[in-house]
Amino acid sequence: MIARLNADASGEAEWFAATISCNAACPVGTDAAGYVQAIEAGDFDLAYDLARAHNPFPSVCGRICSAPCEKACRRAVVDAPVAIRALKRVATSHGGVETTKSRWSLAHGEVPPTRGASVGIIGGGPAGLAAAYALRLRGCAVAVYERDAELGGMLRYGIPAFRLPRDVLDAEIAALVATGIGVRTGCTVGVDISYDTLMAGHDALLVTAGCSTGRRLPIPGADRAEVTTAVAMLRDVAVVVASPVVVIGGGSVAFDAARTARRRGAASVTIVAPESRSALTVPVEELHDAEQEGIVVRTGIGVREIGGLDMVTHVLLSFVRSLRDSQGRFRPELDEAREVMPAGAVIFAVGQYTDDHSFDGIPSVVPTPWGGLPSDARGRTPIARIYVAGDLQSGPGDLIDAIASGQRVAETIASDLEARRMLTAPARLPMAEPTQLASTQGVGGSRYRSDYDRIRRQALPVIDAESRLCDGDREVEGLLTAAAARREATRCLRCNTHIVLDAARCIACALCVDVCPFSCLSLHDEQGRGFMLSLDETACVRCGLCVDRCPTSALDFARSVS
Amino acid sequence: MTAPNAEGISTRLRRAVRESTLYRSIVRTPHFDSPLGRAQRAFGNVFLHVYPVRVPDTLLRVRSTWRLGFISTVLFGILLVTGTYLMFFYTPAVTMAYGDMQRLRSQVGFGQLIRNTHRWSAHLMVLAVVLHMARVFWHGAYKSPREFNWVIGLALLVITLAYSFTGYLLPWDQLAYWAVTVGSDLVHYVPVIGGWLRSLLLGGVTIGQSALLRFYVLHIAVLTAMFGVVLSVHLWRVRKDGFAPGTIAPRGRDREVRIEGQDQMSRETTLDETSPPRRVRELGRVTSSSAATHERTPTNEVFTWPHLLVRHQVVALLTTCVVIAMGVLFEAPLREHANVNYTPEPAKAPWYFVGIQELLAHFDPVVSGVLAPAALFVILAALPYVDRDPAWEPQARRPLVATIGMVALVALALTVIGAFFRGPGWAFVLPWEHLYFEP
Repeated sequence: MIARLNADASGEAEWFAATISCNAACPVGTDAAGYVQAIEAGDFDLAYDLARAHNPFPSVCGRICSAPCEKACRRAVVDAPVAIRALKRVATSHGGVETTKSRWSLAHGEVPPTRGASVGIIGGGPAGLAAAYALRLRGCAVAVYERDAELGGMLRYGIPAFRLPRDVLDAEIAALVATGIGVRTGCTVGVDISYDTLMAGHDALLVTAGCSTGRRLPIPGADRAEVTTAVAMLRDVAVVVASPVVVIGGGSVAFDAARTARRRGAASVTIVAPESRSALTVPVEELHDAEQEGIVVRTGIGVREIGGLDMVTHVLLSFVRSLRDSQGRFRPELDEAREVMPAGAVIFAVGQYTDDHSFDGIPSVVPTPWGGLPSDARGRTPIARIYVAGDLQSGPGDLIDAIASGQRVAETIASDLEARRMLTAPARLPMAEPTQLASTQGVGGSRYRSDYDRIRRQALPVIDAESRLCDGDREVEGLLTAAAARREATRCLRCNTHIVLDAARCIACALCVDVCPFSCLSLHDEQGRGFMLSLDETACVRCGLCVDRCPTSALDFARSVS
Repeated sequence: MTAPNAEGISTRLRRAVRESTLYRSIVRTPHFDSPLGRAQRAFGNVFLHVYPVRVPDTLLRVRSTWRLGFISTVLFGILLVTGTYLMFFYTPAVTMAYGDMQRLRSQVGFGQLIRNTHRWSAHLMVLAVVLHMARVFWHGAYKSPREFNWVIGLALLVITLAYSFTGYLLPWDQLAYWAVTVGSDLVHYVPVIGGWLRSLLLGGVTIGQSALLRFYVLHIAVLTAMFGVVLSVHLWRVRKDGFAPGTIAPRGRDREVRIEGQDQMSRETTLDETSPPRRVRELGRVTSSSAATHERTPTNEVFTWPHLLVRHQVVALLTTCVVIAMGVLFEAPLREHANVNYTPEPAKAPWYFVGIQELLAHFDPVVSGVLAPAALFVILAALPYVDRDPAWEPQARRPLVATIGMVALVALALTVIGAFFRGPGWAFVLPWEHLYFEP
């Protein structure tokens, strides 16, 4: 399949944006290529500023983001994607909240005074906090109502500390709250404070209650005492699981639960995932870390039954014959053959739903499959002045999706408030969109040394498995050294540098076509309408040989500038 | 903290060397097993710069060119090397030249072998150049935009013949002396200025010391300089005009070669159906009248390095082997010392002029010795300007191919008759009864 941008057509800006695949893949639109290249150039401050620009949680994301950018990274065609998340962490180690010279608040400059409107936010997780921050920057007074004792939501109660150190989380949340956000923790809406009070006290209400209740599979034995869910077990440090532990599920939560179980003393932990090993959604580093800790990962296997007389003693497993039904829905079908595996405890990590039932029973509201208030893409619910964001809006998802959702719905709320003339603030977009291309004038032009494709993805340093189990909260993943980070950054194929042609200078000599190592360029005779020079962006590595070769300087590098 | 996959010391050492300033200053493109390395090397290396970075895959087939132009160039190189060696042992003086030839045989290390190789390479080069021309004609490769390069090629043929002819005299034996006498007599038949031309060439009316010196200087200096310049222009234009006529369809095997040589990146983006769609952006349309006039799409192209280069190296090696083998197996003739007073019978011109000598036996000397060869060259030079039909296939140019083919056949017949079927007094002799021919 070929996507094509015609020379005569418009839509160049969208095309160039989509060409930068890491940037396009990031739900909040982080300029990943920008900070990767800043690291290559050794400018770590700039790298941090770019990583921070669209994201109030860069230090958190540098550790636990699911990194959709890496999944989109074009470098995978050569060998493996650029380790973008690890590089973000390198950037935050220079200017993030975990350092003494934090550049966190430089991103927003001075916080504007409140301009009348007030927004209440139910839930202090990533979506709620991101929305609170965005709304605060647009001049709203913001109050966050958090059920738990501390802010953070699933970041705090779902992600184990060995992946996300609590001091980093605390620092990032503290910086965010310090922009002037009102916080009430330990406050359950409906118990400690009523909805009517909230509706009366605020001009708009954003519900980001999340999906924090674990699902169980409808199989025999699923409700026995030794069976729990990953979210419950991660949330409550008091839950001790009896070895051998079987974790059912193949996502990030399953891995967190299994690794936490190991740290709580379970000698034998097995993850049973229905997906094939290559289809697992967890980053490969997480998979390796888990296996180093002695966790057995069995893939392509489903659970039929949890068995045992008085106590759970085993699970019945079968191979997965097919993962999806004819409509493509996730519905694993199991083989007939069974295998008995000993089990002392079973942990379900097979999805989550919400425990927020505040709006149950309102006739006009049909809850979403995960039990939440329905809403449109911009977060508006059928109930006036009430909005939802985060997992509650779109179902259980990744951290970065929750942040994006919070920011998006904050925009909706702000524009609705402006429409109701309750907010007089000038629209201050958190980010300026790149508008036009400018020649790089050779500076930053990409001239690869011919061994660019030989540098392999730098492995992340990790602490050894023994010390991980000794101190369960100790962060597993280390930091790339500055040298390793710069080596890693040179692997970037620089999709954000575009090859542009000044057709008035071009003489159609085809020397660029000749020199291109990847056969990206071609010169077509358009039979009387001139010659068309086309570039296959998929294969181009921006080596710049064509720019070097061009005898009339018609070819050049250009980048988007705001 | 332990960094997994720590590199071994040898890997690190190799990388340190590869990335050192000294190494990088000498070898700018250290890798050539990746597409970018190959492109950079072909682009940045002075020796490879005579090639484009990529060539049409059809060029990998031998019958696209039969490698005749390349073989001619290789033979020229061999002649330069062997000729330089011979220069060390040769004095262009009538009193010494013949003795030097004898010493080459008996006293100089590899002297005779080098002389043999030099002589056979010279003959083969005349042959290769003519065949190259025939191939270019057959494929219509002289057509636009290569018209003038055909004329340049013709000039190279003339210089090649002049090379061979001037070299013919240098051994100063009977064969050399009388063959050149016959050849230079042809110059005499040029109307009006014939006599003057001959004295310019010979430095007198007959062949003597001046003629030997002039031929020597022409052979080693003047013609070499001319050939070097003209050949450079010729090759440069071949390169600029796209290197190959693209006249034959590639075979399946060549396709495989191409894919094998393709970079992993394009292969995967082309072949993997699950990969994201290719994204092609049109950079711009060029409509200016100054635009060069050929389309170029990289679909049927291979990297020059290594695909064409390997083939050229094999051909160069084979050519060298053939001429050395000929040098070992066949002695270059050396007859008795040149004798002005004794004309051997028959006195034949060098083989490439013997057709003219044969023609002399049938027509007026002005016609056969001057007008006919001159007419042939004028017609050949005018060919690309007369035959302007872009169709290149021989089947589409039957009348022209037939006409030129007839002329070539006549020239070949005259040469064969003159060389093999003529004896003393230019009488008809059957070659298997007595062969009066020495190359």
